Amino acid sequence: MVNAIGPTMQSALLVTAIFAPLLAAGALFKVRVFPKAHKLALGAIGIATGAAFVALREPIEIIWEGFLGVKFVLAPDYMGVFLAIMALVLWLFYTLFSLDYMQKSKNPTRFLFFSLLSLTGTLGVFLAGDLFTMFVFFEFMAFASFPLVIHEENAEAQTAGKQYLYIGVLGGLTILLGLFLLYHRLGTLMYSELGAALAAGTGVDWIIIAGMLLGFGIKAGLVPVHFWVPRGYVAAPAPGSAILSAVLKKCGVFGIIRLVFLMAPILTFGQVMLGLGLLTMVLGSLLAFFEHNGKRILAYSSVSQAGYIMVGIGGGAIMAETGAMGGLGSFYHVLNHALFKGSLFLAMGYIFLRTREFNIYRLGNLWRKMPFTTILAVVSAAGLMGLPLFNGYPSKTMIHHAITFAESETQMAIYGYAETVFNIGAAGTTAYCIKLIYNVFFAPRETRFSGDKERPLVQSIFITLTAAMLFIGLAPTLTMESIIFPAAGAFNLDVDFVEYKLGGYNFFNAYDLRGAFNILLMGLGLTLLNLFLVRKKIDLPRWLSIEHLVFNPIIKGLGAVLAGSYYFINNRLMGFGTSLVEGYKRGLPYINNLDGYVDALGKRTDELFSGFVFRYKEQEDKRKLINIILDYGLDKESESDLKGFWDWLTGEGFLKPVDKEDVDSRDFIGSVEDFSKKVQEIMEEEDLSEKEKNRLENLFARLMTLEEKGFARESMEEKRYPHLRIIQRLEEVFQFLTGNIQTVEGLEKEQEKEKGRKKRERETKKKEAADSGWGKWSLLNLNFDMIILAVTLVIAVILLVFFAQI
Amino acid sequence: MVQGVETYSHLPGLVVLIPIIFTALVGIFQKRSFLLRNWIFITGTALTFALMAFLGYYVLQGRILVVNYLVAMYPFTITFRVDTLSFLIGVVAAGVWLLASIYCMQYLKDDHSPNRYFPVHIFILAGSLGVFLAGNLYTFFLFYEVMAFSGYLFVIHAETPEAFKAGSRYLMVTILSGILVFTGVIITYQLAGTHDLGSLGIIPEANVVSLIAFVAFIIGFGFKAGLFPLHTWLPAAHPVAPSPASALLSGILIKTGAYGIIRVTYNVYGLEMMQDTGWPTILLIFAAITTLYGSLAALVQDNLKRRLAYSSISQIGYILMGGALLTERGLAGDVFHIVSHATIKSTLFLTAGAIITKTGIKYVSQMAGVGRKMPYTMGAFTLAALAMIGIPPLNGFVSKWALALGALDAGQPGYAVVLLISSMLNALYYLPIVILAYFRKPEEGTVLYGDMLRYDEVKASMLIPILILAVSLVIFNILPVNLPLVLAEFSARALFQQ
Repeated sequence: MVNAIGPTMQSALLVTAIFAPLLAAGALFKVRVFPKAHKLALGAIGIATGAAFVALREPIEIIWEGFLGVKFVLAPDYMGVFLAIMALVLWLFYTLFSLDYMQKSKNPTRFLFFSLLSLTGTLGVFLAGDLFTMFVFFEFMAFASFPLVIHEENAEAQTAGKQYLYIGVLGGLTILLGLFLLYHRLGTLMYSELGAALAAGTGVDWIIIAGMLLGFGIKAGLVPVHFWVPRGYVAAPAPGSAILSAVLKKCGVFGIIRLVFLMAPILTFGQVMLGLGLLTMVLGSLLAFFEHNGKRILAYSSVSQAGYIMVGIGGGAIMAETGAMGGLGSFYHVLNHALFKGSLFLAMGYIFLRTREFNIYRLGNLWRKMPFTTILAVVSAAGLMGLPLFNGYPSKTMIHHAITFAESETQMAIYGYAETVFNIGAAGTTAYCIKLIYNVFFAPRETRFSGDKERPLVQSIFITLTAAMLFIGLAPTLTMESIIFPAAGAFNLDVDFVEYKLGGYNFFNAYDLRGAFNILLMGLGLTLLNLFLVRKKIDLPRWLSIEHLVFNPIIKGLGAVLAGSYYFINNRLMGFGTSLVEGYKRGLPYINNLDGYVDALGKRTDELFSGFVFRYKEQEDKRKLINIILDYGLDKESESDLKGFWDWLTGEGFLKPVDKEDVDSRDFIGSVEDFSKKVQEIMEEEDLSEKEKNRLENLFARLMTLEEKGFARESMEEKRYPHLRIIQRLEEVFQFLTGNIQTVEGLEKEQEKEKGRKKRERETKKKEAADSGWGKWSLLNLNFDMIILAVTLVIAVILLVFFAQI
Repeated sequence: MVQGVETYSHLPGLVVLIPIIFTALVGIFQKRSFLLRNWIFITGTALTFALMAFLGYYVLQGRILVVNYLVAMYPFTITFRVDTLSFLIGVVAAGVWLLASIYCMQYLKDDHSPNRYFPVHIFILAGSLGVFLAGNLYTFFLFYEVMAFSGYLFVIHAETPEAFKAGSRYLMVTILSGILVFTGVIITYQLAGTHDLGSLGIIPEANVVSLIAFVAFIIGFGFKAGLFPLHTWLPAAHPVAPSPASALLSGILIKTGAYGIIRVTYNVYGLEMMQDTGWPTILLIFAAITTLYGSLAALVQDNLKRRLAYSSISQIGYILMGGALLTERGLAGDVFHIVSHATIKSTLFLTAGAIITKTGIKYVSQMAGVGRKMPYTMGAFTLAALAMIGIPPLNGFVSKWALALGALDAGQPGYAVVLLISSMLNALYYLPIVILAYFRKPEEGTVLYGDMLRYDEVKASMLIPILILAVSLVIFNILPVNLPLVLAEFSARALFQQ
């Protein structure tokens, strides 16, 4: 069943290379202690690297027919081999680094375990010979890398991890949709038979392209699905962030390269990629430019750099066989980005380890204490900026050339604008790099610093990485000719042609140097602007996030649709007209009030996903109420914020009426005074610290003064946020659909209440039925009795007809 | 393998007879000593499984085992007929039964009435194997009723008010389902003059009467399987039954409904008539609704077993959809999904039972930290959850792949999209459990707080069945020949021969 084409020995080695990390991960069940486990893992990765080097010298093809009903193929081409070896080597460095970094961390072995699994997944992605095998490994990698994100287990990591996982699943499913359609059409998913399969550009083709682009784009962090990146990269520990940014991101890029150049060499698609790349690049730069958190800067920078790569890919695709600069430039940039961004994440993590600080405006003057880190960070940042003599320069130059070529060849002005946008993005990159490096290492501030200076192990890792980057920076042409050119095949290019066209290209010519210099000047200008903004404390408004603008409204819209259907079902057929009117009435303020509900539903969705459906019981928890007030209420400085807080508080139904009988539990009692009394009661029961008491009293004083101005009356008129009603309805939809949901605590109480309510309902129903004569028989009532009745009727009819026929 | 050589053999009869004999043995000896009872119990299920697996020796040679017994009701004979489809589902049923039996010895150790449970447990095995191996509709109906009515004792076992409530629902459903299936059977016999399941299509022509019979079959089996508006007994019954019983209810017993629908569609009516009339479209639409409805409802359940029950409803939607697509790949995916869902869902229910035994936790929201306390159990749960979502290389993925391609073959890409949406929803209600169990620390004052959070697994006799099932989710797919898949494809091909 399993066939290997090519030397048996090397095929075996190839399989070893992929599965050695998996085996090592299995061995971790036996060897769990911290340094031992890491040494074992290092050994395994080393073996895998060696095996990969030996195995991949000759073309190999391993085919296993019938795997999962399709096929399992390993047939690496040069690009895959190159990326696989890059992944292995970087992984070696990052594992070495975590030997130091993870010393005081919880569960270092768990991190290592999943890191090794992710490595196997990654290698599989790069070395697979067909799309199906690649997908299998891609999914494996997506799930195995989830614990790397959630590793710290704090609130931030929980959110980030969940987001990473769910969006990863979504991406996997959209890729799968593409695979279904593709496999159904062609009956095979081998790379060798997929050439230009989607080039016709029919409707189905575009569905496939969109599905796969979304799936791979999520992993690569393209706009507009980049929003998980800043959360995920920041929440993960330093080696995890480095792995995510330097290698796992490249799995997405790899998929996109396959999609663009192998399957869909369409001009329009190239233009789409170019546009998407420019958008990603500029937006990433902009966000990094405004950011204060060092690690978030790097995360946004990763987004932006993925944009560079996409621009190169787009440019290459537009120019087809003459687009050597674009395709190969992006490939070159994949290597460079992996080197410098991984190093920067390591450096930032190491700084955090010593200072417990990510805010760059509280760091400073670190170059004295951490010289090796400084050297690494400066060299990497210079590469990131694209300064000549550093490693980002050649690849950025090539990508830049791709756009200018496109302009000169096609004579279309649009590419001229594209070049301008590109330059702006590059200038932004320069600006945030300068900001980052200056503030962290050279700003005259003293930083809290604990622990030793750099250990020898870390020093040597940093020095090696620096040397590698400097080598590429100093010998760009040599590097390009020796390791980038052979990948030409993956970009639909002929190697000889590429060598003829680009061989011996001198990167240090006047034109390119001037370009770099211009960008540097613009970047310096932006840096000055940044200084001004920081001094004036001007920041990007928070509502400007893509989640806020696009995704949450979509989720809300779905919620509204569900709520609407609930009205329809709830009021049955008899009350159809009424339900429409009612639903409209209730929906209207919801549509008008677009501002407040975003956070609320976000929270709700979170709870829904974590299985915490009920928040009623939370409100009964008095201590929690105090905590909520302390958490949310105290940072509200302006009056409007405070008012919003009060509205939220009353709308949430924390303030229950004294008489619980027969009143909607979400009604509230009026004034701030009542509220403060109630809280005072709770405060006496629970023992709060003096500080907390003072803060609460302060809050009430401020609320009182505001109330005198009349805001509370207004909010009473509003009663509550309408959107919360909608969300509550949404829950009721599910309650309705599912019969009954049981709470954990207060179950009996709920049941008793329920009984009373049901009794009353039954009575009213009886009355109604007596009145109208129809109420009882309304349709769409999925009661059990009704079904029994209906089925009995069906049986009767069947028997009648049957006997009539005979 | 070549299909078609019929061989007369008493082995299938023996397979069904053994559990009945052992029911009597367990009943007789259980009063003397529980140890003796356990040994007889396990021997009975193990023997059944061994014999069932031995039938594979003939089936893989391409033979079909047939046997007739004339018992009292001339001209109706009790007939068993083992073709590839019967064999595949039967052997999986017997295997899962064996593991659940090993598990329930420990699980019901301190139970209030184990002496009622054990004979019933082994007796229902006879019923469901009788259904899977039946060679004509009379035999099918007979064992279907045996299996369904004894299932009542599974549901009410806890003897709580909820259990009795669920039990009475179950009983109503069983009676209705039985009446409808019986209606279908007599109409079929009237129209076709035979009730043999050996040929492909025995109903001579499509008219109102045969449509009525078809609808009666669909509703009757739909009750058992949990098709959308008929599913109401299922989420009530699963949480109250003992965990091994829920595993069997969800893993095997509701599959009798799905199996019945396949047999009716392909053996009673035949592919040609179904394609001409387009009647399965009704089923297809309801199956799609079932899939989405089950997933959406599962999303908001806090009770773990109830969540799993709704998930079963959703998965039954996959299965019924596969049969109703009327394509060969779809049917293969359908059969394979019967097998994979049987293993996956039994794993999940047995895991839930282990968690309940050890910690008393029944609600998802309490599960923070369970992964630290019971890492292997939760590991099995995680694997099964991933299989349910359909992550390669687990078996849930293989069935999803085949089903979706079947939908595309039938020119119905919408159903492939339904599968994907359902997968996403599966992820949304299974993964939070995993995250909670492994990556969230329990809060102060909860069940698992403090000392309770030590590594403490259930006993080996409960853990090993779970682990075997969990391994089976992945192992067949990474062997060079995926035997269940090959058998499923082969049985689909056999039903498509014209």
